[in-house]
Amino acid sequence: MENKTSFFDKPVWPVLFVLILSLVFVGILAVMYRASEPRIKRQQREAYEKTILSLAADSLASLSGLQAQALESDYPTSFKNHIGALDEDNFARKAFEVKYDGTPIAYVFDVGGKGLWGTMRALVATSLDLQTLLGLNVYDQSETPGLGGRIEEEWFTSQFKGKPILDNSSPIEFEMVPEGQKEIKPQQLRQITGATITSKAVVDMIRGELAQIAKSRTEEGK
Amino acid sequence: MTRKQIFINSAFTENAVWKQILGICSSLAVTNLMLNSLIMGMGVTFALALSCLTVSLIREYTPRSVRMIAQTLIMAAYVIMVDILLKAFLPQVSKQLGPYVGLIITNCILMGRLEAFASKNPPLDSVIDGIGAGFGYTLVLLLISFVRELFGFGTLFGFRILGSWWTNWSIMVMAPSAFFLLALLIWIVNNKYYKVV
Repeated sequence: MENKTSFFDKPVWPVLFVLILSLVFVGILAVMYRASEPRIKRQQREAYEKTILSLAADSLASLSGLQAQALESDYPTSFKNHIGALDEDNFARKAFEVKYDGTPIAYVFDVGGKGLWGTMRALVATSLDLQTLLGLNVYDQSETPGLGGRIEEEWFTSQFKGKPILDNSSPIEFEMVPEGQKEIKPQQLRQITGATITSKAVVDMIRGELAQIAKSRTEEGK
Repeated sequence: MTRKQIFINSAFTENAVWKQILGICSSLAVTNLMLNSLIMGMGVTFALALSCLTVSLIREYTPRSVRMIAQTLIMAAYVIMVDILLKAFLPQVSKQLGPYVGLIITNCILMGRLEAFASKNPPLDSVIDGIGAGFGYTLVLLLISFVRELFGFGTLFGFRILGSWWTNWSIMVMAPSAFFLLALLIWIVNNKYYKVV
């Protein structure tokens, strides 16, 4: 005798059950993912572009006489007007040119390096000769929240602004001072308490990557 | 049990952390900032309530031999849904949470409530039980992170509470303090409310 209750006791039911359940949930997830994918992608791109713009904003503001904040809130128009993506072959990494009235005034590079727990990525703005940092933003990292994770914080990244980073194409040595102290020399940087390795990793990443960029550029120039 | 009793039972009397000692891993990991704790607690509560509902709805048809696979699958699906929704509509929060969202899947509280309650009880009761357990968990996270953030950073939810005279206790930010505080909490609660006869 076949009836509905006995079917659920058959050995085939568990197999079918898991199959149906998987199909239903995987289906729902797939539809959800596909539906929200463009939105997620767009938001990631916008966040990225806004970061570039914020790094370039100060240099642009000093030339144009506009407020840096006004430039940032004027995204996407200001991004289109002032930022141009450079050919990736030139620097072997993503690079952007900050332009005012068509003439380049600064570069923004997408650099990567190793932190304490994993890789991290940052956007670095430099002067045209690559010798001076104009800004830093760590946009992807997997450091300890509350310790190394603080490399994203404003007080840490803003101290890089205006620091000499290269001497021709060799990186400048930095001296790390405790978080609570003031830096007195341009070669000093405040490190994060409890995150010595991560703080140093950020500095080394920028120095190494920029030295490489400078080197490749001088070789090309020859 | 009435529904109110179910809630009180799963949130306080049988609290997942201080009574069942479940979810310890995440209680140690995410409690150095109150905001992280709150978002983590909300994520767990949301995923748990929905998983409880689903598991309870299909409990009559679930073969015993594959029930755990089914529960894990349902949990994982809801956690991924939370992740996608956060990424699409609250990118800021999603960035804050980072790896924690995925970790909800491995939280023992979910599996525990699904197996112990939702697989044997009607849907509405199960949802209430899930919300209760999530609430109890969030409460513990907030209690621990309150102490850790206050002494470790001098702030609460990112707002400065203690003035600049305050010297941050680095130990509170690091993992050991979570062990001390969690143990202290479990000790106090058990001493006060659960007398071993």
